[in-house]
Amino acid sequence: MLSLRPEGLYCERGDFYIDPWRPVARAVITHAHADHARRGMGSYLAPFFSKNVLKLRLGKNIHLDTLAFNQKHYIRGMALSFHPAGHIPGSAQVRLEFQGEVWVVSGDYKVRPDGLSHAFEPLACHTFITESTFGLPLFQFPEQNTVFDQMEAWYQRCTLAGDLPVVLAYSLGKAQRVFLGLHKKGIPVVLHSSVWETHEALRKNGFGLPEAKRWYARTHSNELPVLIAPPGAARGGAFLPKRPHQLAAASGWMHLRGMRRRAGYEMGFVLSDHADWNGLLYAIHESKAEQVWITHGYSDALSRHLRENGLKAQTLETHFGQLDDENE
Amino acid sequence: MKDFVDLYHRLDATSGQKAKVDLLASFFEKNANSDGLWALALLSGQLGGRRLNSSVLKQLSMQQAGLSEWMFAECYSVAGDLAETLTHLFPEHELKPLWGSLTEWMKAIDEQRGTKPDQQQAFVLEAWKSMPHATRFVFNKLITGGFRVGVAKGLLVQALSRVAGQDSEQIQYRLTGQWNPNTTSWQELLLDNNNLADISKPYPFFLAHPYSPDVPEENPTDWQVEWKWDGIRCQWVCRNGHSFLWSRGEELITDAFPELADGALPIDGDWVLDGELLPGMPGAWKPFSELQRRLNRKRLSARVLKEVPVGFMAYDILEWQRQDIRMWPLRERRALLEEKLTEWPRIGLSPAWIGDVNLWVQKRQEALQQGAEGIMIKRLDSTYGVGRKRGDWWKWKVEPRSFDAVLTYAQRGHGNRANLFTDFTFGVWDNGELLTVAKAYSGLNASELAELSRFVSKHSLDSFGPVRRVEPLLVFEIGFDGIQKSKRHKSGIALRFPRIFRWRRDKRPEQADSLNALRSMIEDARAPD
Repeated sequence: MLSLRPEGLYCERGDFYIDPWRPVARAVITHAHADHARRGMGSYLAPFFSKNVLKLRLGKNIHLDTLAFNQKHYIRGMALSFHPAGHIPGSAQVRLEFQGEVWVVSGDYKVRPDGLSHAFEPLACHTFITESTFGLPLFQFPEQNTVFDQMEAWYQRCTLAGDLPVVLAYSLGKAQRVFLGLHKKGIPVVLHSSVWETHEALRKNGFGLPEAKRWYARTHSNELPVLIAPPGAARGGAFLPKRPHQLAAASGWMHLRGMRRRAGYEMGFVLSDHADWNGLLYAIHESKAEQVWITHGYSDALSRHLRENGLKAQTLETHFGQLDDENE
Repeated sequence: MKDFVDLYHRLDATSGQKAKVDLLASFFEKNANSDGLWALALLSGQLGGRRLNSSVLKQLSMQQAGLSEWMFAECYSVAGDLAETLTHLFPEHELKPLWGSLTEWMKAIDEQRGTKPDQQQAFVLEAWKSMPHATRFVFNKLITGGFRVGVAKGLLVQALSRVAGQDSEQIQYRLTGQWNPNTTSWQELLLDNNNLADISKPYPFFLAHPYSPDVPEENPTDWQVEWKWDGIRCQWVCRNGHSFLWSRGEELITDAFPELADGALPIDGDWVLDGELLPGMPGAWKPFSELQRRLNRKRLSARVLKEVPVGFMAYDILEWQRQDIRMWPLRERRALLEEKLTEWPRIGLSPAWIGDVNLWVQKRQEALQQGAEGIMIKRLDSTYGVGRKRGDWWKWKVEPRSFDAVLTYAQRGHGNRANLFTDFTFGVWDNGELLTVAKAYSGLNASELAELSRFVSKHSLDSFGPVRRVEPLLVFEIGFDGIQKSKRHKSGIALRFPRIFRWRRDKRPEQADSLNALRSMIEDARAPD
């Protein structure tokens, strides 16, 4: 039903590509991160809840159609539907069904609910195409509430020291998750402008996010808020506050000490929008798939592991996961 | 254990020096006991070495996580750290609390060393089951022996100085030697006055500043001049008839030099000398490179002992009959040293002269002929301090010499310099061929390095792994501190501390120096055989 072409993952029956990496006539998009939703496609078909952020990122004038979750869209007898992937707000898995055969393309996903994105829906299928960003048993992540507790303790230490706490988080998905986690604890938060724009786009798209304050370098307040900024802001340095601050990153990669140390962050919060090892195994198990194709991440290790456990599994070379800034 | 685990993670998440000292001080304040002592031993690197068998740990981890060997290897290579891999791979579990103090844990770990694998596994498994993730990580660091967290010794000294209410020089002295948390106590190590339970204990070394022209000339009789020997700086501690040799890195190196430790002693009684270990004999010293053959060997063969005899040049005395005399002025310590020291075939008194800058210049010119790398200038009033302080002791090396060589090979750097070529090999002419004479790593600025990296990429002739053979087009001036004959090198010469002085864009490769020119420099330096 699907095959790999130089442009991306191609469906011949529907004549469209899923998350193509080269310009094509018809693109089906799982979510708005830059390695999945690229510019230059003739038309886009995406889940309704990703509409505003897609336009924010790709331009207002793109030719975009949307579908509600679970809504079936028929193309030449094939049913296409989007189902929540739990990765970020508006992210979906793509389910294709033709004459009783079902394929599912996971896009990026996580199986544990984050309290904001629509929760991951396990889908039964014959062929499951899954990501493997954290596809090693090394990656077993803590519950997000534990992580928010750590963040709260860190915030209090920063305030005591008089340092502005800065959390680096990808502007779409992670930033809102951090925002909500802190907001629920009554900790004041301000958003870097690109994070704020995404926040607003999601609010207007129907997500129940509280209103947020935008950060200005000159803002003075007695109470120290947490500043949420995209990781690129720290690299360029230009957006970093002049005042004393402490840098923390929120990402699944912070699970590895070496990763955090090399990046030069003082603090790392293990907060991932991708399934960890157990999450991947859970989704694969629930799919009851006869064959599993594994894309970006530790695909070789995961497919070997699955093969050793009696599944038909193989690596699929895609271009996903190659734009660092946005894929986690 | 909990305080220590918190300390470890807090230090790991702190980059400021002052904040680290604060963390350490408040930890030691609260744990001024055997836990504090163990923590100090771990953080200062006093305790090293792998503690439990790593393949035993690996097997246990694989078995608990239900993983095959290749998957473990995959995870290890991604995490890059055994303790961390073990920590992450242990399945999440209900905690069975089994708390103990750091001291109790360290003793329990020590008891496991050398026991049977299944006993070790049972011990570790019980521990893992009792620990949350953060604790398990620190515990795994302890049992894998790879305990390193970014704490410089200076920060520990500052924190302890605050907690113990003593100045940092006193703390540094207390921390020298081979103390061990099993045999001493917090009180004894850091607070008691009589601190000589450890008879091997050396003093912190006093270090000289590089000479600068602003050294006051004052009264010419204020200064003593000595050779700056090119050997291993060493304190020779002798108490109760036992000898201990300590290197400048405060490592005990007695075993590597039995002819000194077991030979005739230069002074009767108890004493501590500061001096230099040198290959050869007084009056006939050999090049420094010979000493390498005596170091880092598990066993010294009779042959090496015979071929590379070692001698000791004494230049200071720090303790006499159990009295710390570091506060005596140098002229009095020197007088005592001259009075007490008996010269033996292997033991000499480093000569000293008194005089002004004219003498300094003259002695410095003679240094190479003496097999020294320069001179030391010491104020006769000076006490024997701690660490490197400006003002009383100066070192003035012989002008480094240089030659022009052609770049022949380049190698990629590591870590954040992996995209650059940073390690270079240079050759000089010998019968129309370029013969390798030096490898140099430093001396170019960032933009030169980047430019050179681009050159290397464009002009590679061959590559061998990370090494490229480069078209011989560029000339560099290579500086060095010493030059010796060498049988190990094809060129027949060995350079000491070669580095890049400058990029000679004005020279063509055929204008680089010849091997003969380098050989003639050896004659200048005269290394007696």
